[in-house]
Amino acid sequence: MKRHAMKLTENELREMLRQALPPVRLDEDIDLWPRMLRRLDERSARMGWLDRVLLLLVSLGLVMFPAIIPQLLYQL
Amino acid sequence: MDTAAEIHEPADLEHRFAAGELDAFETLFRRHQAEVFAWIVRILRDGPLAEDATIETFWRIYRARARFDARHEFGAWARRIATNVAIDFLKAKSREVAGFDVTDVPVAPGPIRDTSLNDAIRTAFRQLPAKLQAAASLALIEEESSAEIAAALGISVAAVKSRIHRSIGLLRKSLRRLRVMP
Repeated sequence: MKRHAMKLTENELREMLRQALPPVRLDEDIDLWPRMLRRLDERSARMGWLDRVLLLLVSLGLVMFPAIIPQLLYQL
Repeated sequence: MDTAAEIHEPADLEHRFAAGELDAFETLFRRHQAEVFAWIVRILRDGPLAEDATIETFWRIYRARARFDARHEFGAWARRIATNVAIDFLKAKSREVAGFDVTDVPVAPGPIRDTSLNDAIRTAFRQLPAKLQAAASLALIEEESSAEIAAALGISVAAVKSRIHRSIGLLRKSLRRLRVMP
């Protein structure tokens, strides 16, 4: 038999994939909103901490180099 | 569950979401979570992982809310983000099994059957690059149209067809190495 005749056809491959990787059963009533809220809270808390550090750094910069204040105001 | 936000018109809801209102986001989340989750499951083929990816999708949606154009359909936008998240999850998963070669799957001499065959096919499939795996899962297993896959991936139909073609080629190559096919 010629090589091309032995080749797995696309339809055979699809069928093999479907058998090896069957559909995942879905839980229709799943409610992911509580997990979403936790994720939002975690991220908000993390951003708050970052914001505070950033604010501290900016404040320190302004205290140490007050000469840049007029330049910043001019840029604004 | 009805919320106050649901009494508003969809466009109004999406405008309020884009403005950062949490109750509008909750309404959109509840309205679209099942659809997004089902889409991600079709790509990842793993329920618990798909739940994590759904949360990550909506987190990205929430972060990108200011860029959302309320004149466009929220569901299509969400699906596109979900597809990108699913591909990121596939990449992370493939890094976890990096170093594992398809030829490591134990096979009996001669043609393999049933369980070994399914294991070999799963292994070959999981070794596809993430973008090809996503396209192959949607096209070859789920039989989604190329146009729908193209919209979700944000690429052309021709590019989708090319990915599917490359997936088939790589799968055939892997399965030949496993003696699943000549």
